[in-house]
Amino acid sequence: MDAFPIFLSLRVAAVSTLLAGLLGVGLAWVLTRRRFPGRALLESILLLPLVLPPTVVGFYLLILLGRSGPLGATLEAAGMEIVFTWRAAVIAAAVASLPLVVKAVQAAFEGVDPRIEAAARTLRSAPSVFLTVTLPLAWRGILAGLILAFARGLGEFGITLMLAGSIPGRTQTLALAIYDAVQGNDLAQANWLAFTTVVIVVGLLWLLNRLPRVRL
Amino acid sequence: MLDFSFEYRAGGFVVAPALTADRGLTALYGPSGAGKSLTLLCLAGLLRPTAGWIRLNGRTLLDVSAGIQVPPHRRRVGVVFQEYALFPHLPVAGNLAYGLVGVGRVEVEERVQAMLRLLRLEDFGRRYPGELSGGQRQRVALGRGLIIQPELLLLDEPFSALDQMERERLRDEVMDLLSGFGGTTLLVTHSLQEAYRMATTIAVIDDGRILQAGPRDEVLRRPRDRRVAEHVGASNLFRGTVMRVAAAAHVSWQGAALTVAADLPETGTTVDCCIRPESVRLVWPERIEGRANLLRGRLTSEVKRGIDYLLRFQADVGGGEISISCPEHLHSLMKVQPGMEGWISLPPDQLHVLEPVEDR
Repeated sequence: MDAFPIFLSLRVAAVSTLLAGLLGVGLAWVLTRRRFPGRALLESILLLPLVLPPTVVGFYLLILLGRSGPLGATLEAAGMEIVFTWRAAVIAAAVASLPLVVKAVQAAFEGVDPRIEAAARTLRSAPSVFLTVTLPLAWRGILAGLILAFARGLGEFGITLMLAGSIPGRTQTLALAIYDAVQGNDLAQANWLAFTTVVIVVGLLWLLNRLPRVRL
Repeated sequence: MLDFSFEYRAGGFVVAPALTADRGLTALYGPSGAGKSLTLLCLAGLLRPTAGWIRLNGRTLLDVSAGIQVPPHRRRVGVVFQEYALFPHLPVAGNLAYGLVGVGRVEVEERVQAMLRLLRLEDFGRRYPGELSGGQRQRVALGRGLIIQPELLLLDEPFSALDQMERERLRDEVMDLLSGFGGTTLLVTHSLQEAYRMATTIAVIDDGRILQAGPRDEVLRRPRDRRVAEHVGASNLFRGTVMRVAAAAHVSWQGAALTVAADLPETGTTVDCCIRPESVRLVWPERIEGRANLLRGRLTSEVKRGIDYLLRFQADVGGGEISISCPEHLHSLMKVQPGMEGWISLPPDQLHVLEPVEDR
């Protein structure tokens, strides 16, 4: 049994969750607490990966990050290869899970009473209020968003295939390896990979439901 | 001393209050939508005025033209919000200690303990706000504002979330806690009764502007103009003309000559006067001798208002209407009933001449 796809997927999901988490919390805060022109547009763009076919998202990412793409060329000049490496899988997973994080965290921030933040603001500086009041009051929703992001990152297929390919031992993640195994009629490998995935995801959902509630 | 004059625009609504408030409790009284809470948020630094300045005991908190805007947590201003806005994830002690930044651990502990004693919540330091009664929450909110030793304390409708019984009790409790506070307190309220009960100074605000500020009795009995008179319940308004017979000036209203204790402008000027319904006297028919501003007429209606009756009186001369607040004992003593004929007197020292409302 080849366990490489499991470890690769766990690593990809962990790094992409971190990326999507940091970016998502920031974007969600901006979207809930700031009014600026183009806010609705930004919100719609952020939701695109949720509604577009993954191959379409993957296609545009490929154009953007490919060797001759505007971003890809710059990164390659800086010595960082993206396309068809494990980093591409991370980006694919992060893009796929970002809307989930933003939506969940937005709802969490909206649940924080702005008067409580205002009261805190009269006593401490704005960054301190964010860390000691806003985040603790929203942490359950944020954690839920991160768990969803991790699960989504673990199972990412379409964008990953477009951007990272399915190179065994290099970029072949869980979802890709299962597909590959089924294609190659290796049902035993497909079975154990699929079962492992179910165990991980069920474990995460169990964790999500056990999160203690903040007393209000 | 708090001293400010600023302007804040919210959509089409302009709030432009100016006020000087000494140590002690000043009530910012006005109807909902008058701009009370916006004023308070500007003073706390949570909203940014578009022009003007705020000074607190000689310190400049805001000066838009000089580009000075002290952030909220550096203003030494404590705020007690409507419905308290306590931190639900922190215990009572944590709520109290929240504003003590840059204070040593031992001193924080001491000050929190001292505040818990003052609030009579010694055993509640580890409890969470969700486990407290309304009154206890209110005390924690007040303590959270006071523990930072502010120079200005802002109270935003602190009793609005409570029922009548609790409100009475907590008002006394808050007054008690505030008696040890040496700074300036600004109480935002839409209840005239509350403003009068708690504050020594009342500032009447409407349409985003302070219409009048002064000692509470002065504001109630000597409102500056018609608008203030309406807000403070000096609901009997008379528009008359200044007349002079020999050297004595009076106001001619609906054919009646009303004597006023204050100086009057020149003959022929149109003036508005007001008198509070409580200040109008019902006069026994056999005692009308020597009474000033005596009017004969008929009681047209009465409304029982709990502790008093509000009577409507129609004067025989000109048919002018006057409201009278009549205490219950007097009501039964004089056997007052709608339809009865009688006399009323408007004491000249209670009949107050208003300034004309300035147009803006």
